[in-house]
Amino acid sequence: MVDTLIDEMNTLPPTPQFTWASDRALSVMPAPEDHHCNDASTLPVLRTWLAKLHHTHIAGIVNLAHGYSSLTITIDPAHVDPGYLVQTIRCALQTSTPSEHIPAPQMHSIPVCYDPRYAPDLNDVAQHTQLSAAEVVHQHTIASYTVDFLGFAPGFGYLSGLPDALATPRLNTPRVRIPTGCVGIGGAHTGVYPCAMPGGWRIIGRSPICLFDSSAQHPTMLRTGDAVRFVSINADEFLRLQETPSS
Amino acid sequence: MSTITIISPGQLASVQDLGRKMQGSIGVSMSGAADAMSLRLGNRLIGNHDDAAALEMTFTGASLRCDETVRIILTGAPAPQARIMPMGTPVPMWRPFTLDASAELHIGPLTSGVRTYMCPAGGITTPTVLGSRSTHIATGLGSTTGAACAPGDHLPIGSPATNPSIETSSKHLLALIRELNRRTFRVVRSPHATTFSGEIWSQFIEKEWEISRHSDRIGTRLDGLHLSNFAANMRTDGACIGAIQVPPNGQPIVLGVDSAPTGGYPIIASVIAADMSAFAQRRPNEGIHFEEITIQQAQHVARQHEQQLDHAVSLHADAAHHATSLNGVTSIDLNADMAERGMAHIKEDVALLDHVTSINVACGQHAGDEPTARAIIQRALQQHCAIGAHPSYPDRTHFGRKQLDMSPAAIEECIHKQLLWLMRIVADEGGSLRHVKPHGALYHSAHTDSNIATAIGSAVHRVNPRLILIGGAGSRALAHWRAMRLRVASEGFADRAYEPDGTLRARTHHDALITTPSIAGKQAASIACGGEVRAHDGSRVVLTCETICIHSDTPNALAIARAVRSSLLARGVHITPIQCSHESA
Repeated sequence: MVDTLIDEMNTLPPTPQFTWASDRALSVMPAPEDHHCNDASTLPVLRTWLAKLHHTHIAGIVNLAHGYSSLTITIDPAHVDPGYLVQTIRCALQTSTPSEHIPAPQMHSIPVCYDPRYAPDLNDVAQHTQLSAAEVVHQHTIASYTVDFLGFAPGFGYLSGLPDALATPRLNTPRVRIPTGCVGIGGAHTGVYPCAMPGGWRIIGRSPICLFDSSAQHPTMLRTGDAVRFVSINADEFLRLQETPSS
Repeated sequence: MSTITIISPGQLASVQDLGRKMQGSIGVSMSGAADAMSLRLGNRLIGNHDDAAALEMTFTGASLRCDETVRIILTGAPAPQARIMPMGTPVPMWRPFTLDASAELHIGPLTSGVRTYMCPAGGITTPTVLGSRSTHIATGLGSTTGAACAPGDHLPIGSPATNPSIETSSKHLLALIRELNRRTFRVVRSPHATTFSGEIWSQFIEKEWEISRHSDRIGTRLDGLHLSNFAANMRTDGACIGAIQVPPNGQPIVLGVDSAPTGGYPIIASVIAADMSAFAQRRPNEGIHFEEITIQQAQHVARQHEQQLDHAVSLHADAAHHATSLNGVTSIDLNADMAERGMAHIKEDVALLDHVTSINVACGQHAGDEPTARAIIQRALQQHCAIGAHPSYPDRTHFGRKQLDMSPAAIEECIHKQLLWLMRIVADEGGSLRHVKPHGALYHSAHTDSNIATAIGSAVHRVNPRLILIGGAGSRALAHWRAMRLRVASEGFADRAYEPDGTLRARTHHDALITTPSIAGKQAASIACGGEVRAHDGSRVVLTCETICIHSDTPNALAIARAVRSSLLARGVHITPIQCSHESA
């Protein structure tokens, strides 16, 4: 009886709780009273809400961002009645959405060349973690990662699942330009730079594949909720796979 | 199509419009003009839509030429040495001027501000990337050449609007330009503010801060004090433009237009949306202050600021009077054709009544019959919908969609009869007729044939000269009826695709009808709030309307009506029967 009750409670959609972060930023999170505040329960709710808001096209919303604890909705305060907008968003979030709007998670194997010529910071990571370079690569490739959400840079996935042993602080002075596809470790996180840009993560390898194509129907390879593994390749394979040298 | 060639970009020049919307959740920054107010004013003053792309220049202006004569306006930070070469003719700020094909524009250093916008009439028309032409400087996203403009870059220019009518009020315009010199920026306290002590908050508000030299479109660093906080390590969450982040070293950073959509540092406060344009014009070493207001006050300021912009410069694409603005609130009418499918479909018609404010009742000639008309009129009167007639060519076989070979006199008689027929029914039910909207081929032929427009106008005038005649926005019929001293209202469509010239895409094309509710909703919002639609090829069509039509016979009509209504309400648009502001006498 109690079990059934708990099951029912778990299937109830969480209530959205709204907070104005500024005059144009509305953050929404699952209300803490009917929700366990951990990533495993929060992230799927936020992912569903994000899909609903993208699908509903509510006028007055100009941008959406996914984070660990909330979605941040940027509004145009000059053109909407904020109170009415919150009502509209609340309705949209509490309406059930056909499942096709929320894409099923995919599994990605991302080839990475850990050859020293593509891994300027691999030795620093090895030194910091007191592992051999080969052991760093081994641990990085046996782990399985989850895309918690996208942000920071076009197509960049925040990955969870980096083995604790590999955590290494960011560079003291960020690099002015990191080439497309570089794989880095920054604190307890790892990720792939989807385009050339400045950055402060320790670069331990480089992937030849393209994670972001602004002209594609789905510009990003990674989507929230997807699973990721890194597969080690050698320098020859890197060059062969690098079909479109975009940088 | 003409092309601007960059001879020298100055210190940093890039193509910017109002930014890339709805891409934050894939990690893409909004970008766009850092001083959006100067871009929007420039666009309006040169006859462009607000979102047209311009060249944003930083600290020093560009030198450029165009292969054809082009109209240009410079807005934003003053460029006192801007000249047209080789003659050395000085060019003004905030006023359009002509750049001949043989001449060069040298903009030179910028003073008392950071950013100047060069807005060409027609806008810069580099390809859009994820819905915008803006350049994200750090990744080069949106730029054809990879990042900021370089010498030799070619920027295509669109065709300018034909005869835009631009209304300006120099009083309001000057006030907005002066506003760009603001040194005290209004902020709202962040929910993270609890991670800072009360003492830190007081320091933040009382301190005179200096703009750091280490500032760019991603963020503006503030010199003066290092603020300690209790939670240097926060988890990554969304971060909006204007947010003031405090990283572990305590030096505040005001997030700019190119900032990432997510951030991991605590936010102490946010500069309000209405003050960000002026903030983008503050030079390194300039002193600034912050002043706290509430979120509600800030949102009110945003609306006031927008009204001030509309008072300063508003753009009308044609002679048609545009979106009715009563007491600063945009209002629009929603209309639907009714009683076209008999009693069998009356339920669907009645359901639509919840979403529209005017109905056009079929008068029996292309469709319709007395019982259906009566039933729907009864319900409409209960719901305070305005009732109009929907006369047509007498052709039930083709549903009035085929142009018949009738003399103007015969057309006038035929319409006159239809109006009398419907007026009697409306009167029986205790109401009165408010407007007339010709149906199908008659609606279209009134645009192409002035004799037919006259015939329609005469028929209406004979039954009641105070009736409002509805015609397509931009249609020649409207001008014709106005000349006959009739009251008119211009109409746009939420559920029909447009051609680039502003006419409706013919029903013979597979994409003539918009059947996706959310798209119809967006199109209606774009008509009501932006005065424009996207044609089926993506080009922009200026469309000023007092009423928006939702077809009752479109698949999905009810869902479309719902989406249109909620989309308009969400933008603060007041949905109300036609407010006829332009009576002829």
